[in-house]
Amino acid sequence: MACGGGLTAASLNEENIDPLLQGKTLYSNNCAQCHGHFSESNKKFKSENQISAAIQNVTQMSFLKNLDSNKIAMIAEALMEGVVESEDFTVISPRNNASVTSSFIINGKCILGLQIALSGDFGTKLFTCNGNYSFVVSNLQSGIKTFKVTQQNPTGYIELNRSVIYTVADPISDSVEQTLNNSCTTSGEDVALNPIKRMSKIEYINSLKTLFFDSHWNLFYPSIQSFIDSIPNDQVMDSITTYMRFSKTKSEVKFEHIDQFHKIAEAVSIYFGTIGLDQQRRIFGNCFFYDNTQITCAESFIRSFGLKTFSRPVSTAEFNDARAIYLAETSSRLEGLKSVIYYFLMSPQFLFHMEIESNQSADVITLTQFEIARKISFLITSELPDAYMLNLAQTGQLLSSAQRIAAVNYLVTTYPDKTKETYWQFIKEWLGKNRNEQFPSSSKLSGMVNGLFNPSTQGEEVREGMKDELRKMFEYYTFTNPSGFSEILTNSNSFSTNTLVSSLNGVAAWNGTGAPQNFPANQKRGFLTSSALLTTGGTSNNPFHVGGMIYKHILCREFGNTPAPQDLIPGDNTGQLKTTRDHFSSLTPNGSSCMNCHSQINPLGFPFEDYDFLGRHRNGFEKIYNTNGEEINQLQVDATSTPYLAKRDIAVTGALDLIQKIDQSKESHACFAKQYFRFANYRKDTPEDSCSIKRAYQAIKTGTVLDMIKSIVADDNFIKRRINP
Amino acid sequence: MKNKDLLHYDPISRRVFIRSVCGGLVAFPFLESVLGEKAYASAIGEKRFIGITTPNQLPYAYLGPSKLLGANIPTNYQSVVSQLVDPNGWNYRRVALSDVILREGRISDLLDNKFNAFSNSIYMYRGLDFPGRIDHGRATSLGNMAASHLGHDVKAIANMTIDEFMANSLNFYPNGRFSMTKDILRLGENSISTSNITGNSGVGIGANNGGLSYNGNLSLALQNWFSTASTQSNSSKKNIVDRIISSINTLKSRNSMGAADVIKVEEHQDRLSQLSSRLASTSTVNMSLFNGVTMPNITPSSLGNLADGPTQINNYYTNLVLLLSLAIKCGITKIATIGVESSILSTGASSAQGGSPGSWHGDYAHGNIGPEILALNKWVIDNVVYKLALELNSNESTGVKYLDNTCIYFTPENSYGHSGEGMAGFTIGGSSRINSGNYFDYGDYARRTVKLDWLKVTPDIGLEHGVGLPINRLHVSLLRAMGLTSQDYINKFGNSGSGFGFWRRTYNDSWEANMGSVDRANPDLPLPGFLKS
Repeated sequence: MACGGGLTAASLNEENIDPLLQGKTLYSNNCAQCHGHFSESNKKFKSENQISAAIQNVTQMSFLKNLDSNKIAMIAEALMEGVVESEDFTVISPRNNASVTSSFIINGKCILGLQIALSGDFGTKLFTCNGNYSFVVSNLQSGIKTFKVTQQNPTGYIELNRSVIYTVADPISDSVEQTLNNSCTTSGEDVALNPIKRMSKIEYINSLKTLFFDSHWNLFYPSIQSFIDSIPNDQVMDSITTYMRFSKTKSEVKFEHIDQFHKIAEAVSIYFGTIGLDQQRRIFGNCFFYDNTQITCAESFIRSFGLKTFSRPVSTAEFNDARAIYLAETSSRLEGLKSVIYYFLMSPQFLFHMEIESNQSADVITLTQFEIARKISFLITSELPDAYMLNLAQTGQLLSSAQRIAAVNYLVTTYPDKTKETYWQFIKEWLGKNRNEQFPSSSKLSGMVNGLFNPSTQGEEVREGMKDELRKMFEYYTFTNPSGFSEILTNSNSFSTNTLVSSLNGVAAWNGTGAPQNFPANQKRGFLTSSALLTTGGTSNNPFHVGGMIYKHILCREFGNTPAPQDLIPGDNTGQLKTTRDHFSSLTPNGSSCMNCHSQINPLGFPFEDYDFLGRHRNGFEKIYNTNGEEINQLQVDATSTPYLAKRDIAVTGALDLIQKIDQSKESHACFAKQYFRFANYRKDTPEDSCSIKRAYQAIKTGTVLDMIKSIVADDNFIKRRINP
Repeated sequence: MKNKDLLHYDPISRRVFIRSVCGGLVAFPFLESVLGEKAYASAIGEKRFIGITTPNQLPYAYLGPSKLLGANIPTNYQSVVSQLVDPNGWNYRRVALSDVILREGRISDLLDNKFNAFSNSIYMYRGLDFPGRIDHGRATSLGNMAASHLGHDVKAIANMTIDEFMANSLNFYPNGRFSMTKDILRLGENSISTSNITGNSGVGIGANNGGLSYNGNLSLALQNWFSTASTQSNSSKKNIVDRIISSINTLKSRNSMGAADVIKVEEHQDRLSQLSSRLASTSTVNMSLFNGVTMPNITPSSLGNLADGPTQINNYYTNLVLLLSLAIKCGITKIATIGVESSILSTGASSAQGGSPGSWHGDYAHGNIGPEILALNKWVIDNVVYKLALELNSNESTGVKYLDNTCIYFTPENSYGHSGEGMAGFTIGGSSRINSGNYFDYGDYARRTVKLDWLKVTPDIGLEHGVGLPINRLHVSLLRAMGLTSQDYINKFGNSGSGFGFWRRTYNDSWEANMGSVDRANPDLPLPGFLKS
């Protein structure tokens, strides 16, 4: 051999050179049959002494008594391979200025004179074996810490390739920031798959209104109402095992959709055949009024109506199609124009958010200016872009982030009612208030509301009043007095303008303008304590419901593929001398499989034991009713809990304390940003969206809800989509 | 029929109409070029389901072969009755319907010799139990178990019925749900199905729980399926729709259309193709077809001759059968349920109850096996089930009969009295998947015989029957026959947790004890012998 070692590769006896490999070989020959393959051995980390003792004492191992101590040591060494035995790095004070302490030994022993280095962003510290290597690192600031353990030998440091990442977290304020993608720099790092979507039912209805002016809408609406009612509703998908899907993420096209679209398109076209010429001129254009025999009149209508319905100029092929349809109807020009209306209203370019006009050959395409105009308009007002927005697109004024933010400002200012309605659509779906809980008209409930209202005759008023209070709270802090999410979460104001509902809050009704009413001290704070969210429509508050809602909708946590809950109807505690909490606790006993999920749900729900089934504050005592709804006792409320927040269990004294800590954790802020991102993009977020969501989160963390909305629109991700080839 | 004014319209010409419209429609517009490739593929080998039920009791002794009651097998049947044991040790019996016909000339009292021609398409059963169900709950016949309002704790085990599971299954509707106003056509005077009766009492007599499609108005249904309000011709609309369909092909070829985008516009394209198909047929439909046909509104004093059915009822159901045939043949739906309800079976007066018109229901639907209830069920079987089978006994464009791909399921609400023990029923059609041509008695006489002791039959006829298998297994069987897998109906749409197909019963009585080690019901356990291997 050139290098003079005298050994060839083929003759190299690795067992003689590498004690570790030799130890593994010895293990394979002597131990593996009983204890499994080396890599899966059930005797990992056994020491030399332990192995020797086993050979002496275990009958089945007696055949190994001839194994000498060197070989046993080699086996033990192999079983210790690569192991840094250590206690977990523990955080003794998990907040800024934290200290981390740990002790460990390497390969089962301290090697006298050998030092261990622990390095991190605090520098490198050396430790000398003293039975074990123990250390304390103090004054750590919050953030992700990487401790790299290296071992020093006479020739220097040998890296053991052991890194321990430990998040030193402030338990309240920094739990979100550190989990977000830290590599985000500028807008639009990555783009998620985003297939085209059908218009939602609400978007479709609003778009029809836009196309035909509200005045006409009111006239022809009666003729299409039954058809609109028959369009399948886009259901919110909100089971415990899946993420919450907003209704407009639904995109399936059933025949029922097409059937009703067809009938509506027919009815609309018929309607415009029956209105007076002056009205027709408004729809079909001036030329129709003066000379409706000219093809140029029809062509003009095709271009203008096509621009509105498709939210962009029609292509040549589309124009020719519409023109041919017009000419095919030979009975009259009016019939031809009606056919053109039908054509546009049935085309996928109207019924879908197509976003394909760029015609780029790329995995990630950038939307055209017209598509951006449409997307922003539907996000803010749930309808087609108006002439101003189309003009912005036409003149290339939607390309930059600043331009898109200006477009949002325009829509919010120009269409405040539609903006608020769309925002409420988001809020009520997010919080599960798109359903109408019915108050049971039982005599039991009549007694339990204590004469406050008549459930059978005023139940609907109260229910709608509760929702309205919720809506007004969000609108106030988003549009009237633009604020951050913290204000919505923690404010002390009652926004109910309904006398019955405001009385549940213990205050007078708000007049709808000016400063809202204040909740009584230490009773309610923010939307989580609103009656709308605490009322289930039954005769009991439901900590499972509230806890699950917070877990999933407010904190954006998911159970994944968890078995569905058992068929359990909680009922209420009427007729029992126990609190609602005790009743619900008994349904999910400790140690039961229920607690796989409820150990996380219940601690978030029990703090709301502070409130009854109408959201009334209990003042520390829960009224106990018999099955007739008559009060029979009062029991002390236990609203204490230890929910998991900011990556640790945190004790809270009740709902207000929990809300404060949720606010401090910022998990709810991040979740709100994520939910709105889903709403804005018609889909669930993906890892590719992490930077966009981070920016939205940061916007609402330090700014207002509108800032967050604008952040999402301004993001490059908003104007791009990935297509799967 | 006695009623000469049964129809204001000529039924023969109507049948001709249906064949000309829908025969042509199936053979022609379902061509790939019109219907779209995927929809065309699904039109071949369709599976369809029609559930028909009558309220109250129908004693099993009259529905199944009358000579095969009880533990003893008559001598002349001993060579043809197979005594079988399933892998769980459950004893049951099978006899070919052809052997019954050979001996009796007919299948049973209620399935007379006109059914002989369909014997190879009929699967008949007896001996299925829903113990504890002694009250009303029409939806239970489709698998939606309701809590009894008589105090027996039979909790709902699924909040959807089997037809609803079918409607939501991609194994049933491979291209997504094909639905008109309702995913399921619910016809008759009362829906036998309902969306969610969890925790509530069963469907009450005369209640319209679950909602009838178009409120039972046949004319309205026809208008909604085929009519157009336009003053323009439907051919004109069809041309526009076809032009859009064609233009979508251009859209699909754009560079910026991803695979998922293409799927989405194809979905739209397919639905437009269905619309085009309907528009093509609409021009030939006489939209006044069912004018004047109204849902029966029978008062006790107008019942007339119960056995023949009053004119209104006859008129209504004759037309209903035609309408449903039209819907099936034209691909309007693949699922329908027909509840033949109160007018002839529940709310009529009974002269037997003396004085003013009393509760016919009370007289005949509880314990008294009067000839009336048999005659009325026979009327339904003859005039709804049989006529529907006749209408569907024609060839599809594929050469297979509609009936072969259509399972018509008939079941009464209850067995004797209001009992859920020893339930009997039958299916016609769906023979490509169902082991038809046989009569199965699932009562295990070796395990125990049960003497009717609830709402005792008057007069006491001393009948005993073997303890039966859970009726859930029939529901599982029907779902399987329609191509669904257990994944389609477990924990999928309900929030009640257990999902369909499990048997959960907390009312404890001797029935439960006699199940022994038998696997009572689970989502993967059809009835033995039901499915073709």
